[in-house]
Amino acid sequence: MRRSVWLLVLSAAAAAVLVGGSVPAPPLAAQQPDARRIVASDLRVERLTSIASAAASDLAYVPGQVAVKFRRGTSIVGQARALRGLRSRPAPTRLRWVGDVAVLTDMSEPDPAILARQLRLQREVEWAEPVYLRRRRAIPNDPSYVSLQWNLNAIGMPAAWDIQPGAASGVTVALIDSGLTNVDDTLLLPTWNGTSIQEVPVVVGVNPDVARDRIDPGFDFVFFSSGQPVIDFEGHGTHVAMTVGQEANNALFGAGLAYGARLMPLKACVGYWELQFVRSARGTPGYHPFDDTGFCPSDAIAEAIRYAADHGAQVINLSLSGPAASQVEREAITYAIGRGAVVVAAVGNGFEEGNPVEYPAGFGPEIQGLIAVGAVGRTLEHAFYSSTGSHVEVAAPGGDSRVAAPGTGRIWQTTLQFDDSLPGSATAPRFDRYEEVGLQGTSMAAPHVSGLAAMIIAQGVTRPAYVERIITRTARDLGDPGRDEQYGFGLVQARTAIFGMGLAR
Amino acid sequence: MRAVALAAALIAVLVAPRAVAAQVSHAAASTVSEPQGSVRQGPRPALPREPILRGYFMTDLASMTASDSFDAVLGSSRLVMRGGGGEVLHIWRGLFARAAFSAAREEGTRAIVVDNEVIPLDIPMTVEVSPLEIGGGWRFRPLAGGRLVPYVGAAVLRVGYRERSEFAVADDDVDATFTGRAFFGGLEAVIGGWVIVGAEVQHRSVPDALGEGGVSAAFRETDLGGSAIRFLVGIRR
Repeated sequence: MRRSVWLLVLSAAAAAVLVGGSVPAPPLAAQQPDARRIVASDLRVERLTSIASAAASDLAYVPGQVAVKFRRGTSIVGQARALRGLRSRPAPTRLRWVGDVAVLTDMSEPDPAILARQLRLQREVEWAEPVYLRRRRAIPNDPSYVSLQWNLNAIGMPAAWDIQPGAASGVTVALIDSGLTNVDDTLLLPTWNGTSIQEVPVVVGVNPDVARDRIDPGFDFVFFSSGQPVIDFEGHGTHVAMTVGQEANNALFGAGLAYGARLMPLKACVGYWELQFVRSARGTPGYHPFDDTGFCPSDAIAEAIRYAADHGAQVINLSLSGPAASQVEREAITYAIGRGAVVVAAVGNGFEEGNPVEYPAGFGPEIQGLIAVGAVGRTLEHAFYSSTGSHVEVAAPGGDSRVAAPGTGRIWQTTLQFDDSLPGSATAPRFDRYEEVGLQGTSMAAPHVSGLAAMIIAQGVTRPAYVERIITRTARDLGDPGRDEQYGFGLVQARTAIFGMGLAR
Repeated sequence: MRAVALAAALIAVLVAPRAVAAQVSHAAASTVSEPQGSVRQGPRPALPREPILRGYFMTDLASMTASDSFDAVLGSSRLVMRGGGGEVLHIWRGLFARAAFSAAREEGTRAIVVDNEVIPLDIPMTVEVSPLEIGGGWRFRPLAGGRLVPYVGAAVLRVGYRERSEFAVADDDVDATFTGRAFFGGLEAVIGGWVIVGAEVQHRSVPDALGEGGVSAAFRETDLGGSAIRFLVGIRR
């Protein structure tokens, strides 16, 4: 009740700011005894600043950062010798380790391609590469309430649920994305209100359409220094998570595929609001430039993949991609698969933008247990944006707004209300209200396969390579007969995969 | 159930007066003994000329040709089939005709096959195999003083195959009949003058019955036949 009163006050204050334009807002922070003040030291300022810097320059990598793998058996002395090949001669203690891969920040040479080249010349170094920025792969749209969730019927989910009513109960799916909020809280975060930097109460809340005991604590690799809480400030991660495991049979919103699975949110992506908060925390006035896809550094992705594998995740969803092949991601994926986790990756949305092979999905054919997923629309034809190529292994519903009535062709799941946090205009954003939102992209396709993988695992199949084979072999062939570059082996079929085979049929 | 009914009918035929008379004649002929201590074998007992009918119950221990497929879903490639049959003996000299029916019903689970490795999916299913065998053969001269009769033969098979799975919808289940052939050879003994027991080896071939779907497609196994050892018990008078 008290929170509601405060929310009313906040809303009024926010309205005053919006209407009043240049009128300075009252110091709301002082009026929020329950709110938790977040200061710069609570945030991963260095990482976020690097991302913001890269975003400002439209770079595909984080300036001054490289991931480096030393040859097996290289001692600290050897590592130091290798690092002396760089201009700044950094000490090995400056290395941040992601498994057996080190991430080095060396701002004396902002171009990581040069840093990596210099490191590769050292005999102690097996490989070195820039820390790439991945993009989440969804195309946002206005909410609509018509013809929802055609996608679940398209892959035979009702019949699959008949066979497995628990829908992946006991299986943990890690979601490496922008997060899935795991707390109800009010945080005092600094932001720009149009005239000054001000601490504002930011209300965050758990999605009501997922049981709290199904949300694993997870970890934040990009925003909060402590790794907790995990908060989605954008909605992409929540949407993806809900496709995997939105609650079902509770008369609320829609359903996800594996509604019995545990969801492990691993925040490795940041969007507008994280960058805006850190910009303000550093005292830089103004709004952060808006980019609607957000950024996911490859080292954070790799950290998250390894974390997931080490903390019991059996499926890892990667609804993100980028054009450069990253060894740090590749090794993390191989590590996770070795620990028994299936990895599912979106192939990317660049079909009409040169159709590049994007990674980590591009590793799909090389790594058994990594499934590269393309998208189809409501007509079950190749979605206009979905990247194609020999690396595409299966297709799943991702939506296609061009071949269906407005709003009906997308993937609808419950996620944050976009109106509550419009970049560049909302001065007191909130992240606690949810609604059905239609998105499209290979980001939306991948979690269908992750949910299905979780159900197959719940059926007793544990080896990642086997899960992949089952999904690809039971897919419904689309397009050219056999495997092709648009659909891979075809559209995944949940019921067929779960039902398995009899003796003769 | 049908097998039992068929066997009962055949037994009923056996006890008919005409069959009794024939059997008596046959029994007399088959118990002619050879002289003690002779160096050369004497003449074998003459075979009766009048056709006779008889029936029997049988148990087949079948080892399926599609061994990987059966093993994948049932946990074993061996089936125990039970049934009954009837024969008309001495149609012409040692020629005989036979009709037999047996059935096996086993429960297992649906499975996935990946790289020839079977992953059971804990979805119950039932497999029924029911061969109907119509054929004939040749009974050789009795051995061991007329107590053992060897025989060989061949038959046409009509094999019913049913597959039922929990959660199945239209077209998931299978109910089909296939045609094949069997070759067999065995040895029959008479106990106490009116009970017959026998053991028989069969090789059955039912090509192209499997292999279009399911685990049989994964293993590329198409034959619903196999090898079987049959134990039979019948009565004669």
